[in-house]
Amino acid sequence: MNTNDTLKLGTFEFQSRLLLGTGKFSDTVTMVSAIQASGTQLVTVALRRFNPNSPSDDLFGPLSQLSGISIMPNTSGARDAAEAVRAAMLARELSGSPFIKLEIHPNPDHLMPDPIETYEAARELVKEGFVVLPYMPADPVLARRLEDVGCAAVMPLGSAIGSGRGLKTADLISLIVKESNVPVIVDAGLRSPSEAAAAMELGCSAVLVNSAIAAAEDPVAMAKAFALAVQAGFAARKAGLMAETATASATSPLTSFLSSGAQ
Amino acid sequence: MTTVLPSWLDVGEWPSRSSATGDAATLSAIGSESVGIREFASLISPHADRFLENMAQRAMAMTRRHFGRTISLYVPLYLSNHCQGGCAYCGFASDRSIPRHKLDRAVLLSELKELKGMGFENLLLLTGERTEESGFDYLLECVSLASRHFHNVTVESFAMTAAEYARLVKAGCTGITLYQETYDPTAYSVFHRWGPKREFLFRLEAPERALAAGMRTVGLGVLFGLADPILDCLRLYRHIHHLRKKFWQAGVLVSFPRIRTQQGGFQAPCPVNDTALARLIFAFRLALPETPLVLSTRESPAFRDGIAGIGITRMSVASRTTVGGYSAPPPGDTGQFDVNDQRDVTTFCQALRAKGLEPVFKNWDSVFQPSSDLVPADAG
Amino acid sequence: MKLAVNGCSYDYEGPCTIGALLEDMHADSARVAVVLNGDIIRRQDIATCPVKEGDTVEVVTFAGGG
Repeated sequence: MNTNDTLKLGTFEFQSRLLLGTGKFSDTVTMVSAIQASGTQLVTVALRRFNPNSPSDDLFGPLSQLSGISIMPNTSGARDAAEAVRAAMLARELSGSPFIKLEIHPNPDHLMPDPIETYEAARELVKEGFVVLPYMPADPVLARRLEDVGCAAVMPLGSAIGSGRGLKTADLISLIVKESNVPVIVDAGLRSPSEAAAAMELGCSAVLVNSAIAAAEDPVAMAKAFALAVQAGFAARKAGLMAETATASATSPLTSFLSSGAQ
Repeated sequence: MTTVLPSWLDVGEWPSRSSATGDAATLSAIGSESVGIREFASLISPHADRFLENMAQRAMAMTRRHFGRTISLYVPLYLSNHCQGGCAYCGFASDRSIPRHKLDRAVLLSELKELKGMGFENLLLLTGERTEESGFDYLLECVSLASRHFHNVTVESFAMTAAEYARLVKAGCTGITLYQETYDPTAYSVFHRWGPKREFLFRLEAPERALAAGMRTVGLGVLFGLADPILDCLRLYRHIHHLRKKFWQAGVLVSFPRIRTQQGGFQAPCPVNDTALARLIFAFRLALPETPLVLSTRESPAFRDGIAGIGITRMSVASRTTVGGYSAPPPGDTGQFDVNDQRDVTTFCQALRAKGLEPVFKNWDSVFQPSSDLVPADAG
Repeated sequence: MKLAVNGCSYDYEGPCTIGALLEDMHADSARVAVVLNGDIIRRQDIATCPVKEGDTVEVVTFAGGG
């Protein structure tokens, strides 16, 4: 667990522990307002073919006008390690950002990350000098393997992308937090701010939210709510939660041997 | 010269923090599903003795959940009592006037045969600090021979270099046991009067070297009686966490040796009584639900039977702490320490079964290890 | 000349550089990345990089994504 007040990704530090995705917003103005309301300093973007018929789809302009925001391109659309590495190189050429959110989901129905291709691509991208944040299944062994090849963080899913089903993997994420030496960032599946707070209370270093904000009735207000929840959860973790108490009742004494023996 | 402890051993203010020692803190720690150093500090505090029965109940429930009703058995085999060490508490220290021997190949084979005949598969080979007569090469040869006959061969010996650990692994050694004895550098330097073991940090970092070299398991422990058990346990707890963070595939075991009697004139300055030892064992079980906790035959039959399956999950049995003690006990020889529980395998297993516990002699097969040095058992 | 741009056939009559092609497409060369026949074109080379008949060009930019 990172108990310092800044989120450290590679050599970079962030005050905000809320990462924001920029997909699914109804319009760019709402997206920009939501980014500002969330206080985020790191937003994800996707790589798409330029469309000559609607050049205004481009996010580059609006994002580059926001100060204090770093861009983290993702590799969505990549179905294997080779495609992801290629997408990452292209994204770096475009943005100059050292960050890459590595995501490889070959099955378009559930978008579950491919652990094997993700591992291969992570190894390659670290060698290429990227600050790699892999989106991954909530698997403690994979988390350690990704850490071992040099990923700057691990990003286990709470539940399926866009599903809004919350922290279904809480037990596994707890294990990952316990065993990791890099920040653990819950990515995908969150629906409500309380789940973001819960993730932080488990010891996660940050959360990445997109659909829950973009698809809310009022995305800007929801962005603010998530920001507060992440701060509350992080503060609670730092404060040290009270332990749950189970009152043990002695059925038959187990410690009677202590009075019968020597000493 | 003062030893600077690495930061990962830092236990902050926990040994003296009063918030760890209230009734509420203790009960809350006993009920906790995630024991951290705060809860652990409550559990090891003497204040927790008021709730020892609650701790025992909880410890047993957690032991059952992770280990079932089994006790894993191992047997120690002393290869040599040659030693250049000056451990004040040890029967093998170089200033003790005792007959010195080491097992030659023929006697080693007959000892192995004897132990195999008793049903053992988990073998712990022991030596003193390295000497001309029994140094690394001798130990390596013994490991190599023993691993042809036993599924699981571990070593409790001197602290080694990374290269030496790698060679042991290649010879079929699957783990080491290496107690820091005490994590208090001042007390450490008092009781380890001479010899290479005086190097506190070289020993402290030995488990890391072993794991980096490919050992599957390391056994850690504090020799209770030497220094403040509370501070020692907190640092041991930190040591375990450090190893787990660094070596996620490693198995860590914790043993609970204590100096029980005056032996060779040594009086333990900080004796730990039965109640305190039980409390510490329960505390480690609550803090480390999945870690094997080990108890040797230093302890009495009553204590061992009482605590088996509550917190302890791995025990030695029928131990001889003399060299050559199984097939040809040397007359009048004294061991490294006094064996308190002298029951044979059959009697001890009966006692375990009477408690509803199943003794287990073997956990896994070495066929998974692709070691070219391993040859079939009958080739020995 | 005929090019394949972003998967579509593209008739282009301007100067034979990527920079000019982007202008023709109304694309801001500072806000796109270009792949020419499978090779990623370095940012500083985009303006002057030559194109010829039959080339395959991919022009990509950022869009919303999580």
